[in-house]
Amino acid sequence: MEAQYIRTNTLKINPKKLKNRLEDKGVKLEDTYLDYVFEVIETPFSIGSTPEYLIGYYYLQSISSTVPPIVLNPSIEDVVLDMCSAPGGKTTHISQLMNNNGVLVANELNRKRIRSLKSNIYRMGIKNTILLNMDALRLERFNIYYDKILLDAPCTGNPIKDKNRAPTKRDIKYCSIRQKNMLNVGIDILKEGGEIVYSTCSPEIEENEEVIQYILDTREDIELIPLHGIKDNLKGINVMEGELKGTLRILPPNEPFFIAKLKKLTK
Amino acid sequence: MKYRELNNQEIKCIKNILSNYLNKEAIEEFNFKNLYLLHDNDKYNVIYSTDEVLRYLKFFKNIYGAGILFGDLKKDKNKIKFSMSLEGMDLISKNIVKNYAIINKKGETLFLYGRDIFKSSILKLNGTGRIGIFNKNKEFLGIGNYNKGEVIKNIIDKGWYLRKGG
Repeated sequence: MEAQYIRTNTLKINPKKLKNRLEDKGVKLEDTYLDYVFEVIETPFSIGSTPEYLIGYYYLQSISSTVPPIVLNPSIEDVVLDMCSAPGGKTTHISQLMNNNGVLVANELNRKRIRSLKSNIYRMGIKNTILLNMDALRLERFNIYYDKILLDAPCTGNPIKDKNRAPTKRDIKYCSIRQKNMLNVGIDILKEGGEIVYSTCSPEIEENEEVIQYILDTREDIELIPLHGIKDNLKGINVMEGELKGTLRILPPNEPFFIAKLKKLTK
Repeated sequence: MKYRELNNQEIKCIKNILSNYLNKEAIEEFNFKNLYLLHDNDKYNVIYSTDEVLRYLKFFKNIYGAGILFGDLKKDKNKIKFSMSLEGMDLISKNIVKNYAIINKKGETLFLYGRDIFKSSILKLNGTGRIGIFNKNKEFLGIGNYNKGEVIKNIIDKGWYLRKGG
């Protein structure tokens, strides 16, 4: 079974206070690379339905999915876009890193999934968001440019998330084309000097390194920011450099993830 | 949804409802300029957000939401009525001094399952009508309705996020 992690909502509670409170109830927690994220080692009850969860003191997510917002590294003054937001694990994490300041535009195409995004935003007490319900490929119609963008792109998934996963070559190709298009749109609406983090939870090269290589080959206004440096900070996570130098891959037993960071060049 | 600033009549209506829970100083300190109206046909949502977000709304013609839902306005001819949402009450919960109840652990568990609160679970009760419900740590759990009987009826509680939040 995949390990469970809780991310403390530091907008509402101090991580130590939350840890003590859950430990008093018999939950065994272990520290991780972030002082506000804990691994759930043992719990006498479902950790996703406690009063603390409902009050919005924490979010349940995989440790891998905490990495893209950390790589994005938003500041409290940034105007940030999360192109594919639901269910909101990374969105609420980004808002937490912005201390509920700045502006976070959270977009989600799927009408059903945007309900869960909204619910999580409300539960966590996030106030700095503008929610959009549209195809990410149409985000360039607004006259707004972003300091930071997260594109956690729709992908074919991974076997840890879905044991019955069996994508065809056609599925992978379809996703890869869409990912390239989305990343192009993201770069178009990025400010000069702005940064975009691209991630997927798929292990397929076509959805990851190939997408980044395509962008580097076809655009002159973008450069790859190498992520070697951050590797050492991700203690306890099985991480290695991707096939493309400067990118990251998180590997099992953690949920597989691919992460790359690009910077838009000044003309 | 389209959006616009609140007008004076709407702000007055919201102030009236806030006065059920807050003292004069807390109402004066409340940032009414951070409230905005999102509307779609006859649906009027009052949202609470930051200055920056409200400033950036102008870039978008149609949005799904912004900030947190503070409450709903209902309009009927010339009359308007405001009711606070779960998140709106949560936002003001630290300053609530009127119309609230504090309940014990057992009551908290049942309330978060969507159940009503029986007298035996009530540790402190102040006021009637729509009241804020808190646990022993003074953490906000939801909204109830009390009409001088044996029970506080559950209007909405934070278990909603699990049961219906999606």
